[in-house]
Amino acid sequence: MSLSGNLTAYRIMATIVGVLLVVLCLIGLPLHYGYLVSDAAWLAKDSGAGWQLGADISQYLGVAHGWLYMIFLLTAFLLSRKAAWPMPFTIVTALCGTIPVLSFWAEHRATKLTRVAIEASAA
Amino acid sequence: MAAQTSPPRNMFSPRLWGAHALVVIFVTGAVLLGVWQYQSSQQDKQDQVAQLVHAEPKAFTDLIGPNDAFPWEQIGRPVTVSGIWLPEETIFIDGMERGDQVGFWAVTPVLVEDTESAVYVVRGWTPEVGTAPPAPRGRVTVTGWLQPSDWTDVADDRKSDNVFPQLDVSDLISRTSYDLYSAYVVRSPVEPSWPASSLPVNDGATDVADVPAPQLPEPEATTGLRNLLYAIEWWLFGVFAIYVWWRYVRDTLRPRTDGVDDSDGGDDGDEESAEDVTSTPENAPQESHVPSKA
Repeated sequence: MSLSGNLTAYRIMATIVGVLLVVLCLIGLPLHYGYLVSDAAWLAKDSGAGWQLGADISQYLGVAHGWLYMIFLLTAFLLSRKAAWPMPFTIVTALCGTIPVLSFWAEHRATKLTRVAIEASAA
Repeated sequence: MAAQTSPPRNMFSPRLWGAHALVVIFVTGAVLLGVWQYQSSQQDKQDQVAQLVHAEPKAFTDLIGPNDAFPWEQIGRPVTVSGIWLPEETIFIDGMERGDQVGFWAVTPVLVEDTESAVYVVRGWTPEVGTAPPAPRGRVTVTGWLQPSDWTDVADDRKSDNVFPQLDVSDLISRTSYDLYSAYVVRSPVEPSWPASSLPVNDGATDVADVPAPQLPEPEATTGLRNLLYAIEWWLFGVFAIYVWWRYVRDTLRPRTDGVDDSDGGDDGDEESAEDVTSTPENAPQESHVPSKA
């Protein structure tokens, strides 16, 4: 696979995982545990529609996220070898893939670095 | 130009010890976490089996009819049988271990209410046939675990007596004029949670010891699945860590002729390497065109 092919694969996985993280952590978790801080009926444990949605998100999207993150790690690692990222940069990028919102910044930074390498190789 | 040191000569060079230590730590952690999750999934399955063993009893006649095949999805479940004892058809199963003793199961069939078929009920364990308590008679309500006919197929050495090596219903059909169910029941100890309809009446439990059911209920395939998947994921992480380590060691050991330093950088590693790549354009193509396993 070419360097830009690796980059595209990485960016697709980073975007999927990043969006999933936002849904899981910033939508699913508040819905699932909202009953701890609120008495609203739709958040009630076991009976609220919101609680149920939060539980489903955690269960199904959570399992999917586990496997998709592993594919993301693989694409990031292969790209890091192709584009000659320094190892600490690679590790930080991989770890940021687990943090909502920050993962988008990490992907943007990694893409910028790789584009520089692509342009340099085309020069 | 970045400072260029010569590559380490082999795998055991001290420059690579950090990578070796990291991979050992990560793989050990991944294996242990996977084992933890796997054990958790096994525990979920065992918990479900224990729950089923103590579930509320169902009526025996609801689960199986006199001419039905054994309902395998109900194996090991508590059931309640009501009818009349057939004491003259009592048999014993030998070779039954209890602790360090070997004795017999005392088994008497019950003619099931409203049917003309009988089902064998294992009342309990007794050390000797000669000193076994007399078989009960009269009306009975007994609750126990539903079991399929044994299939171990051991030959009976004395076919004329009432002692058998296993409880195989097909062996027993010729002994008795009654029609037999394709199942038997092992009397279980009384549980406080049972409804009144399952409480034993004349259940033949006097002077025989309780025995556990030979066949336990099966857990569902999906029980403990989530933790099993987590275990697989952890082990795949471990494999991935080995792959990363191997690629890193291999790339570090290769003789380097270009100016890109990717073995270790400081916290500003990304800025430095960006400058390296742009300031040595004639070297970057070598890096990206080197055939690598992608």
